[in-house]
Amino acid sequence: MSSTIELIQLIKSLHGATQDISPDTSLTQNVGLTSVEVMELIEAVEDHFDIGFPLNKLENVKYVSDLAEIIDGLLKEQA
Amino acid sequence: MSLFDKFQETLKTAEILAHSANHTMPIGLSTDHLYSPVEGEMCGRKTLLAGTNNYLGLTFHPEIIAAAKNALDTLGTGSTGSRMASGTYAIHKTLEADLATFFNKGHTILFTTGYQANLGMISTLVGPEDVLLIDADSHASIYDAAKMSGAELYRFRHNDPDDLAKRLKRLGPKAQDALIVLEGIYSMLGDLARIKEFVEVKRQYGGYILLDEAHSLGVLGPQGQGLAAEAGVMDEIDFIVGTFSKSLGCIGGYCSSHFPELELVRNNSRAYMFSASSAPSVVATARKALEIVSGASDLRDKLWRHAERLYGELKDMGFRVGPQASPVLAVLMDSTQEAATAWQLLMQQGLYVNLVIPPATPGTMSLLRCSLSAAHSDEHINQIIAAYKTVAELR
Repeated sequence: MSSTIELIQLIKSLHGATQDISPDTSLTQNVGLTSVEVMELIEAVEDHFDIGFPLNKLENVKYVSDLAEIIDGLLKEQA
Repeated sequence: MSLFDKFQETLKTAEILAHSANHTMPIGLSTDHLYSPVEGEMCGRKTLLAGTNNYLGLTFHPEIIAAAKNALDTLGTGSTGSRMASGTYAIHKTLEADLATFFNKGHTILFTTGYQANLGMISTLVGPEDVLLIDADSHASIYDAAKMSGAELYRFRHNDPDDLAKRLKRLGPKAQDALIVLEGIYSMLGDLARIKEFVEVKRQYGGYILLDEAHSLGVLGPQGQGLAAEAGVMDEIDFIVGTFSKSLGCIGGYCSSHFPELELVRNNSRAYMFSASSAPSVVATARKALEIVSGASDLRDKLWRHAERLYGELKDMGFRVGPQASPVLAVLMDSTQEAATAWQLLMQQGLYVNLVIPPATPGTMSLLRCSLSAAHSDEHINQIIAAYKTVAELR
């Protein structure tokens, strides 16, 4: 099952984002996360999904869907 | 689009700083004269220096200067080569042996700067097939090394052994060969790594610990070896990295380890292979300074007495300070503008501390960072306290 819905809830709870967040939302440009907040989000993602998230993978993350795709991959590896 | 467009943000920050600090640029300010290790002239004014990392105040020590002069006379101004080519002199090898003995580690490699020591060690020890775990508040050299290594990188919460344990547990068998990077004293907030607890985590999950003692060399430990010696866990630390640019009062870096394989790093570390080696006078300075540091428990006692006193006074004034007293004392400010204005006020009182702003700070903090020295007198500490009081009164 895709992690997208849980991830969107996590972003909303962490940053009090009031706008609609969809898989196509940009984490930095639309949600407005700073680099520090992105790191905090990753820490929260690790704890929520109980996965290790290598920071190298962040280079390819722009949209919520990019992050969700990586989380799905990490969950699959772990299963 | 110009090549330089990306620096517009830097320009904007510089303008904010200069405006808030009454047209004095707080970053990169020059010291125009030096009167002692802790007194100089800045902006045309005699200034007490409390942001130099000169923890033991050895930069004008006559025996150290004599050793450096002798090396200049006998070995010349520079080695003009890398260690792999013509830049290995006997004195480089002697200093490596001195450090190996000092840390009781058996093997040491010198680097030309402390930055290069982290870059050269971390980026060589781990590669794309390896796992690297670093503290969230790590120094820039550690972040840069992580990037250069291409290793699978994980960040754990600052100085939080439980958070590291959680991450190692998730790694499963990969944790066994993971490299964990810690710092003895964290350079911005001045807190000491919870090293005994980190060592316990390593015992439980495996991995190797690399401890950067840049700010703790000379400052902690019975002979100034740093935090690992102070905590009695030296045998558990796999790699000790550090710099000569603080307590030893010159420039250079090193890594010491009990692993004989450290010698192989020489042939694989690009920062080592492709840098000119340290000038002989610098190596001679480090050697003599190391000898003096090992017997300087009186200076360490004085330094920590100053640190405890100033930390207590700053707290009593209502400042937000770092988690514990140490020779690095940070006052946390609400904004970059407020920090720059306060910094200027301290300068007007004849006190220089470091103004540190993001991205050099953890998160989004702006700091007034004071680093103390055993060369400070009690009267100097009074002067520092009086200067901070003027900032406290204006808040």
